[in-house]
Amino acid sequence: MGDLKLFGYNGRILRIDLAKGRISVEEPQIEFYQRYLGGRGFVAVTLLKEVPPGIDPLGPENKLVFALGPLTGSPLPGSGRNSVGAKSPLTGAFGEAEAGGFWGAELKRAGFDSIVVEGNSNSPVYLLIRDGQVELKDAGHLWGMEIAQAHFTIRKELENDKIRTAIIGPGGEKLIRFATIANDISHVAGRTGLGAVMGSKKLKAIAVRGTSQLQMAHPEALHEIGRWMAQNFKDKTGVWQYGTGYLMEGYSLAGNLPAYNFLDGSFDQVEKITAQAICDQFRVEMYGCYACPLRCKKRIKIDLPYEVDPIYGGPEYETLAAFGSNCGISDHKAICKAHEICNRYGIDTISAGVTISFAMECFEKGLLTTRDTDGLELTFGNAKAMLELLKQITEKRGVGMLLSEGSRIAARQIGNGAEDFAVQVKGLELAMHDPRLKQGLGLHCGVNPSGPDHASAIHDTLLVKGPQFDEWGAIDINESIPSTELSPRKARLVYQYGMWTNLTNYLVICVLVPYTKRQIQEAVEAVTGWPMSYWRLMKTAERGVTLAKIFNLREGFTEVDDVLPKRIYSAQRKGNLAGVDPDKLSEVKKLYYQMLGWNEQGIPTKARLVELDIEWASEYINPS
Amino acid sequence: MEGFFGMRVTIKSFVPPNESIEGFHLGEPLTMDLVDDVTVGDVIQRIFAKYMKQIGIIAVNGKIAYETTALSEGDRIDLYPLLEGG
Repeated sequence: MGDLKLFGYNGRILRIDLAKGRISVEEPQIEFYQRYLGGRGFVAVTLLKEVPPGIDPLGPENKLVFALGPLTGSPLPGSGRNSVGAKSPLTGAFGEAEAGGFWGAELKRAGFDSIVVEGNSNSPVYLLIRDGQVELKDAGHLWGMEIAQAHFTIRKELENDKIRTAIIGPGGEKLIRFATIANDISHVAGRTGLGAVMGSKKLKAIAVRGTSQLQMAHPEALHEIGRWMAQNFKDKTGVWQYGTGYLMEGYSLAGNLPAYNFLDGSFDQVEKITAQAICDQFRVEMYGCYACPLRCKKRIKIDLPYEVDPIYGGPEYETLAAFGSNCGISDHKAICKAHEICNRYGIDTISAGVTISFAMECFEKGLLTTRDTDGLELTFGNAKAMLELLKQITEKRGVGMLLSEGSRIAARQIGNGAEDFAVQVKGLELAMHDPRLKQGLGLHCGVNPSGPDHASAIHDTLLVKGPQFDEWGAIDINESIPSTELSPRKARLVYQYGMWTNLTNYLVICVLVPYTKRQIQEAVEAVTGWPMSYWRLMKTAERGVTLAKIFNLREGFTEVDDVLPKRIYSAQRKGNLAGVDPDKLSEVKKLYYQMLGWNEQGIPTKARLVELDIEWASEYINPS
Repeated sequence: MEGFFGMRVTIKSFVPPNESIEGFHLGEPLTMDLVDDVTVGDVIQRIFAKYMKQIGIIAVNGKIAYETTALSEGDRIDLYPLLEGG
């Protein structure tokens, strides 16, 4: 790494070849860190350079990349997270997700910035990392275990209750296409099916313990930001009271609460399924992540009629809506049980919920019958049927076998117009935000390389009422735009605001901690010692987005895949929100491409690759 | 309520008030006595003016309302911030 001292990183990337049982460590040049920063940036570079095009996502040639950011493991609230990526078995595209908890911080303290897992093991193994020492251990006895059981078994056999784990459950082992990876049981990398990639490699877990302190360039400056947040967060966000989902009644009023498989944007029984309703009746405690005072995660316990184990936490907004309003269900106990089943077996609550709502609509419209469902009356609002179907998905039996492939594949199999009811983009089910209200989010859902990821999306509704210009003006956003507007200036908003939102996945910090933009810039400077500007930060995000886009182009994705589900082009069944205009979307999408320096087919131009200093990536673009 | 000629409403706000109000907690209902002929806008000006730009949705009795909406005895006012992700 030359003479320059690297702060904020370890300068070490761990590489594990499971086929050969080989463990190696790489020490990238400092330019690697400066150019890509971390998280999704590391994932994008690694996948594009190392994963051959056209491979089976569940085959040995896929690679699973765990990546941290410069702030990971620092004392900054929201810095315990990690990113993980691979070619997605659900979409066949660039796949990436993030998880909170402590595991990311622990890996940084154990001496690594990233882990690249390649090849498939012949038998179940788990990886143990302790302060720079790495070994592969047999996991035959863990295979088949639910997530909490595997976590505690690992801690017990290592005789260390400070071990942090990233684990797959039976969902990942059974290669369910929307399987998850859980950090310490209840902090979940949920989207794009990366648990199935881990399962295909027969890697049950990565157990980590680290005790080193992160070297920072200006630690006092970072501590100051952390202290400010600890003193002020309660005035800046309400999420610490109940966790996400505390604004669901507002979402419903606005038309942003998906209901009945996105037929509606509001739910007349919303007050029964809010985070407040859950907390008031079932909350055991609030808990949190590494170094974070917000403690915004709820732990719930229910005894009857469904036993819900508090070890698996409690449902966040996405889960409350996916199994609640979007399935027409107001039975909050059943929703909590569905959450617990997903975390117990390791599958994504959003994809599971939307795939079940898809099946419910198919049933109501006669495309699935009781003969297909083994007698299940799969109507909207039937909580018992929802839970039974969810069990069938986790066990890959009955109609659950088909639905475990996700709504896109299931719709193709069912046929007869079922594809119209599959609310997905590139195979990834939409999260619980309605693009008919947030049309900029809709554009993001269409064009985002990893599919409709709400966490990196813009939320138009934040900028409808004279944004706090001193805050947004810092990245040159100086006007309020109606959330339902889809226009050239909305494309600009998705580009500018979107790159800033994407940035959290490169720094790998939590979007729920209410940092100002200046605090984020100052935090990165304090940790790394590098001069940092908004321009440089946003260009880093754009660099990663462009590399992920090239990954998708190489896999055969085109502009035709950057669209929204048919459902979103129709008006909400009740309420005032019209469907997204597909012609406008197409026009605005082309503008957005051009803002990114892509041509109208979404292919990055050489000029922009040069400008982003990733000219090397041009060799991965197939001339069409 | 002898001698009181106004009306009683309930306010549930996820936006903080200008200054500390006894009994007020974010997202929890608080009963308040108001004079007659009051609109939602009057209430916002009086109690939430400092954070007005943070208010994204106003509802009265569970239905979308506006600053010009007149209030009546027993109404429930809900104030939500600009909606983010979650």
